[in-house]
Amino acid sequence: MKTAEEYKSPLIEKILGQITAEERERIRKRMLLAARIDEELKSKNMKKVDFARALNKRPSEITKWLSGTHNFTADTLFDIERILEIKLINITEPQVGHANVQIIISTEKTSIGNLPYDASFYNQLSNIQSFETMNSFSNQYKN
Amino acid sequence: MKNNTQYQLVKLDQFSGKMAGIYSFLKKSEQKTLFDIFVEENKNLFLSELKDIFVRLQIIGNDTGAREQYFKLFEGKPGDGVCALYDLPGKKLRLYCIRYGATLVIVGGGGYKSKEIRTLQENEKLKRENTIMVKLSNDISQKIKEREIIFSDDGYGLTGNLTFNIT
Repeated sequence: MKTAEEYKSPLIEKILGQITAEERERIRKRMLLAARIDEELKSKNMKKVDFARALNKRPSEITKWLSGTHNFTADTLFDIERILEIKLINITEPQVGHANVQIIISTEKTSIGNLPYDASFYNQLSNIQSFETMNSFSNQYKN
Repeated sequence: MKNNTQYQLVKLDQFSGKMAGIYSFLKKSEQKTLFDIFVEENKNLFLSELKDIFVRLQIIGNDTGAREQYFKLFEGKPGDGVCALYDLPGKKLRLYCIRYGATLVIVGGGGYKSKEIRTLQENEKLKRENTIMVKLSNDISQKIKEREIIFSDDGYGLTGNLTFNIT
């Protein structure tokens, strides 16, 4: 049986070369965050419509969140954390005299329900954590 | 007499990975895929949207697989798997796909869908691109039924008679 030929497009290669690592990582995090929320809904057997009701949102809004294209505000993420009882953002309290706020967007799963896909996907999700350190407080206290 | 266009299913090396195979249809007369043509048509006006689509396809191929949540479903006829990658918020660049579970996606063509247009029937270009995908999806289904095409054991690939004639 004939398998599909592999195809590489020069035009696509050229445009791919213009994408920065930052752009790539931002899109990747958005998609992983959406996947994480979707997995939590599945593991809790929570339907989108119920999730929407709990957040006082329309179901179409939840569909947008899960599409992997949404740019979440911090407040929305805090609301999602509250309803799903998960941690998406970990904030370390500033230390007196040497403040340091660390925001961790966590895509780590807290629990795994039925595995609909390859387990390696979940292994990957649990290994991914992005760290964005905000040093503004530190700089302020240094002086 | 209607013209016959020949297409061949090819695997897109730049997007496929360990989580999903990403495919497109090579238009034999032009030696370009439907996805190449889509990129050419939109690279001047929608470059940032195209970059976003490229990265999303790479992430689907390599990290997440083709999770249903990333696709706007039921863009074709019932049961044919024709769907669209979600547009970026505030943007309206529609890309039609055929999704076979989480491990195989065929990307086709599409175009700009303005806010004024509510259904694809109102836009000739989108209607044409959608019709091609619906026809190709029907052909694949028929060939799968007749065992001319089979899915590979891992579900990431299609093998067999991968040439299609569309009028």
